[in-house]
Amino acid sequence: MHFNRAPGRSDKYLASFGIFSSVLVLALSLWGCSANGAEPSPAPAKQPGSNSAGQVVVTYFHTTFRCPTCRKLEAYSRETVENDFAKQIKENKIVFRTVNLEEAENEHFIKDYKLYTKSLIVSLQENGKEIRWKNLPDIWRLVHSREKFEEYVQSEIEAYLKDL
Amino acid sequence: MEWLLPLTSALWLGILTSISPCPLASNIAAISYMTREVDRPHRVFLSGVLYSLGRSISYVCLGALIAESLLSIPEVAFFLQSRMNQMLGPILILAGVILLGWIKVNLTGITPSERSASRLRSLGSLGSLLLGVLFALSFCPVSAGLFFGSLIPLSIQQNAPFSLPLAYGVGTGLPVMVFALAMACGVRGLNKIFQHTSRLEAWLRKLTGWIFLLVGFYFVYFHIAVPLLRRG
Repeated sequence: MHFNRAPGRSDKYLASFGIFSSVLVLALSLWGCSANGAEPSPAPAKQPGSNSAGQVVVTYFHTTFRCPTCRKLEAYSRETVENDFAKQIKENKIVFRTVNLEEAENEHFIKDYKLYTKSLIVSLQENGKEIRWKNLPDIWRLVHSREKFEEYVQSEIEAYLKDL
Repeated sequence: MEWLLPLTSALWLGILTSISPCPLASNIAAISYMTREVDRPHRVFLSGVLYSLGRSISYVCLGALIAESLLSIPEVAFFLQSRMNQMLGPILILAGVILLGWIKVNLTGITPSERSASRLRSLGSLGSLLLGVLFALSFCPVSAGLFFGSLIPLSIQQNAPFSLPLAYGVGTGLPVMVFALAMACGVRGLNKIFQHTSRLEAWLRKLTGWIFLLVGFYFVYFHIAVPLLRRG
C-alpha cells in the first residue's frame, strides 16, 4: 500500500481533482434523488364517495420522500385523468386523488391494496363502497415514454368506466 | 427460443432500473469502487461482474422467498425501502473511513507484506460482491416498482424463479460496469501525468473513500435526518 509518502506536486493536482469530483458527485446526487421532498405536494382532490351512482377513483399513493421518477408518475397520471376524462370529472364520475402512505390514517392502504411502492390504483366505488380495484404496475416500465404511459392508464380507466 | 423474450425483458427491466436517477448515488459509489484498480482493466471488469453477481444473488433470494410465500411483498418491500436505506448510510461512511485509511484494519494479523497486500486485493473483489448484495437490497421507489411490480409477476408467470431475477440483477449491474470500464480507460490516460501508477491508485483509493463518505452522508441525511426532522 502506498499511503506513507510525502505528498508530491502532482498529488496537489489530484487533491484539487478529488475535491472537485466530490463536490460534483454531491451536486449530482442532490439533483438526482433528493430535495424534491421539500416541495409541497399538490392539493389532494376531493374525497370520493359522494356519487351514489358510482364512481371511478384513481389514486396515486406516495410517501414523504419523493424521487424525480415518482414526481413524473404523479404528474403524468394526473394529466392523463384531467385531460382525457375532463367530462367525466365534471360529472363526478371520476376522481383523482393523491394519498401519502406515511400518514398514520393512510397506512391501512398498504395492506388493503398490497402496495410495495408508490402506486397508481384504479378503484370502482358505489355508495362509498369499493366494488373492485386494480394496481397499475406497468407505470414504472412506461414512465420513460409519456405516450405509452398515457395510453396504458387511459385504457385501464376506460375499462373501469364501462362498469359504471 | 421462447425463453429468450422473458430473459431479455428481465435484463431490460434491470437496465431501466439502473439508468433512472433514483439509484444514482449508489451507482456513483459502485463505479468509483470499481475504478480504483485502474491499471488492471481485467480487475475492473472482474469487479463489475462480481458486483452484478452480488445484485443477482439478492434478487434471486428475494424472488425465491416471495415465490415460496415466506415473505409478503408489501412488508418486505416497505421494510427494504426504508430500513435498508437507513442502514446503508452508516455502512458507507464506515467503508469510506476505512478506504481513507483513517481506521486501520489489519485483517491478517501480520504487518503489511506483499502477501497481505494481495489478500487485501482479493478482499477488494469480494467487496464488489458485497456492495452488489447491499445496493440491490436498498430498494428505491423505481427498483421496487420494477422488481416487485414487473419482474416478480413475470418470473412467476414464466415459472423461472432463478433465471429471470438473475438476468434482472445482471441488467442492473451492466450500465454501472460499462461506465466503470469507460472511466478506467479514461483515467488511465492520467498515468502519464503521474508517471507512477501506484500513486494514481493511491489517490483513486482516497477519492473512492471520499465518494463513499459523501454518498453515506447523503443517505444518512435523506433517510434518517429528514424523516426525524419531519416527525419532530
